[in-house]
Amino acid sequence: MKLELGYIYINDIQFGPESKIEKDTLYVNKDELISMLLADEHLKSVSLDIAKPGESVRITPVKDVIEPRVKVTGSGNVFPGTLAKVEVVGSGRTNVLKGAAVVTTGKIVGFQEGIIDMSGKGAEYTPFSKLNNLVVVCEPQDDIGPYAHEKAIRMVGLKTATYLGELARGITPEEIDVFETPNIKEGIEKYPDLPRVGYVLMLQSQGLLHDTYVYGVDMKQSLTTIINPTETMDGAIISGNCVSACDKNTTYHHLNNPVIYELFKKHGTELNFVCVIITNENVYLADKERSSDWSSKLAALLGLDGVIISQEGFGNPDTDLIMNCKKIEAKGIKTVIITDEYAGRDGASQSLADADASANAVVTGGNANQVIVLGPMDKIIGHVEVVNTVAGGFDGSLRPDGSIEVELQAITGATNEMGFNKLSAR
Amino acid sequence: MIVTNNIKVKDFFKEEALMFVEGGIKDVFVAVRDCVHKGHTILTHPLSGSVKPTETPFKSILLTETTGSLNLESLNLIEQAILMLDHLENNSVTGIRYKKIWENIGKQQLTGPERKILEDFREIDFTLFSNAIAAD
Amino acid sequence: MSKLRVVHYINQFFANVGGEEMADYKPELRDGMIGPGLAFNAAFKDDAEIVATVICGDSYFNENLASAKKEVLDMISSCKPDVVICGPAFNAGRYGVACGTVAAAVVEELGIPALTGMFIENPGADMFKTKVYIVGTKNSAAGMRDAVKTMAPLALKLARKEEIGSSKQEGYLPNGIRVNFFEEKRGAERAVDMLVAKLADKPFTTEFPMPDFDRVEPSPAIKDMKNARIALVTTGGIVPKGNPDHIESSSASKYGKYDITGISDLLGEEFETAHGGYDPVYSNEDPDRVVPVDMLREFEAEGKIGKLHDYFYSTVGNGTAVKSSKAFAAEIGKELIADGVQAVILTST
Repeated sequence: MKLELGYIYINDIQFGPESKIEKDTLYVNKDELISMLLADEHLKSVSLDIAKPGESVRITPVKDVIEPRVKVTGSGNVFPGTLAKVEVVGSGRTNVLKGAAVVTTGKIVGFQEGIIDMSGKGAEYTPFSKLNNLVVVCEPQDDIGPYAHEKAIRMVGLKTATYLGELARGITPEEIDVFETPNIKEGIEKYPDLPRVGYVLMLQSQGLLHDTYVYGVDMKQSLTTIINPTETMDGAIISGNCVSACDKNTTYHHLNNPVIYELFKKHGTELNFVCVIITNENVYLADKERSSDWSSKLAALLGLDGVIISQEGFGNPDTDLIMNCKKIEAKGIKTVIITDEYAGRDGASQSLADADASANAVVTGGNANQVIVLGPMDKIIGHVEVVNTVAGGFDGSLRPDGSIEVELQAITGATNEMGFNKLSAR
Repeated sequence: MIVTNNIKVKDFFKEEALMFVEGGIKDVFVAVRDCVHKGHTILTHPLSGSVKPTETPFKSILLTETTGSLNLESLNLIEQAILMLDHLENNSVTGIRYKKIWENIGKQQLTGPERKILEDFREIDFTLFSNAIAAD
Repeated sequence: MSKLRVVHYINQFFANVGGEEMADYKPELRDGMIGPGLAFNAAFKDDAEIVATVICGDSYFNENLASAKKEVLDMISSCKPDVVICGPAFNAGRYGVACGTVAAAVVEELGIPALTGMFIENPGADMFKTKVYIVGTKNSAAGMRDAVKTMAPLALKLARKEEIGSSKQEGYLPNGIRVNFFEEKRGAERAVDMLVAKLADKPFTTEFPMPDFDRVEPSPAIKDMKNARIALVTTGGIVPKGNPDHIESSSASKYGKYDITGISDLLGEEFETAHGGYDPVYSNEDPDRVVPVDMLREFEAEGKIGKLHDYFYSTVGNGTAVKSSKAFAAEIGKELIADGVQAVILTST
């Protein structure tokens, strides 16, 4: 399967009378977009705002971040099974608004976390401080319940990203990246001497605020299965997960999966990137056994020599991670796992909820319990009152001067377990 | 058998064998550990959800109704969960703050928004739990 | 801004006093720098200077731990240093233990920052890496230049009470405290690089060492039980009445070896438990409940086993340090093997 990603670089974003892209500026017609989004009767009101790199702006609580993309050629459309029809994606050409993002906020339940600071100390810990963000703040109708609320905001994010992506359809991209995975037979013939490498992508799948969707299917209900890496670049996997801001994978992460990207970089030269195995992180223990039995079984069936395993979230996913690692290593397949840590504020505590001697190659996204002070920002987009309760409970974290003392765990994407960031720990 | 401190779970699963625990998550974990010592096997992971065990007051865990010989994996699972809870309560700034909050909330002088937040937490535990046992 | 004051601790060899024959050299305080001190001093440039050097023979230090430590500490504190550097000791074991002891004591007892350097396999490293910063060095003095390159900047940071970064950034041996920092490459790239190395059987360093599981492979089963010599060892604390060896009721620092030649039954009048972690009533009534001498004598008589060993070994397992337990076991094991014991029944509580 071969996909071209055409990059249109966006360096500025502004509201204007017409939604369009001119040179490297994205213009958004506020009223048009808002009225489109309000077609969803679950929403009482929608407002839009802009947050640019370097501004004294704080966005909170962040639900999801999505990159605007549009399918120019090739079957299907971006976000298949959710916004678009279920047709298989991942081939042809997709245009990308590189440097722009849609950020949805939503206080769905009381403890909502997720901060993006566009400047200051906090900006160093989130990749989204470097993007030109269109922030969508929605109020749901009263009494619609948390499930409908979460779904409404999820759709708002995808629809907004699709609306913006559409603006790039006719534009000639400045740069094109090509990604190609041969089928199994072709791959063996083409790269007979290269190690066969796969990527086990663990997806959060536990319930409200903890779900991931693949072609619209709730991953909780799925057996472990295989997907072409380029399908993720067209939004085959989208996030309904908004808990544990630091180590949940936003839709932006799924679209720009760094492990897929880095494996492609070495594909054909140092390794043969065979495929992606997607698996879930259910709470039911027998499910964990079944899913990890399947990922190791598929890895062996595919004749893999090595895999990278990435996880998502805190606590019980550590059990899945170690199960996947142990069982795959037991088949003689080498593993590298990517995780993050909760080592306490002084870094002295046991960081993982589970462990095994076979997990001898680990990359870490850092200690999420590290405390930092985020300076006061001039503007807060989202739900201001949440700042009092964000990641610190109802007292104490917000100081009189507007600065907040939080753990990294409250910052969106800070300790990402796909290895998106440079943060690490020793 | 369900071990829970969440009345939403208790009310919904009326026909099932259920042990209702008065108290916080620590009390639920200790009750589960006692059950494991008595020969029950744990069926759902005690650290369900990515909401930290310090940041929510409710937890529901499914165990086998029948008992057998001591299941070491279950024992390890619940002991690790207790260790993680203790660790976060003492070594995480967020955990320390929340511990105070739940102690105060235990005194039940709740205003409107706080009551809604408790309702939200009950709902989250309920959905994580019912989704898990839907697989059963 | 006056220069920071540094005191350097070295052994007799690096002080050019002599080799192994001078290892009993008593602690001596000299002005200024000696030997490797010159390299450190050069690295400090104008920021710091070695004002004094303390020399001590490795044998003298290790054989007179308490008094030598006090002497050395007094010498160091009299110079009022901003930071203390010990070694580096490379792979010299006694020197590494001395350096670790001095550096840790300087931090703990004098409240002055300190650091040392040694090869990762030096016994001093495991013993002290959680108590004081130990820079990882090569395994011989050929690594002096590299050691100084890493130790000098860290010493200055410590002297200035600046924030110390992660073990990777600063060059000290991982000490169990996780410190966040930003790498050059993002995690996914580091993961792919690590996998490529692992697949090619090339060396790689994990970013998160799993906890030490220390699993012990069981020995093969005894084939000829009828002729085997079996010994009893216990952590249940059974000792002769009166606890003549004064084994502690918790955090035991010793074990006892007790003669049971001719004894077919441990009686409550002659034995008791020293263990403070369980209700002693039943074991004091009948110590065989913890150390089953009576049963093994029966087996002996019935020919089920060859012989019950003439001695049993006992300590208290209550809160006893893993390190102590390992040390006891090593010694006891040696004696048992020398005495022709083939298997041990280890009882605990």
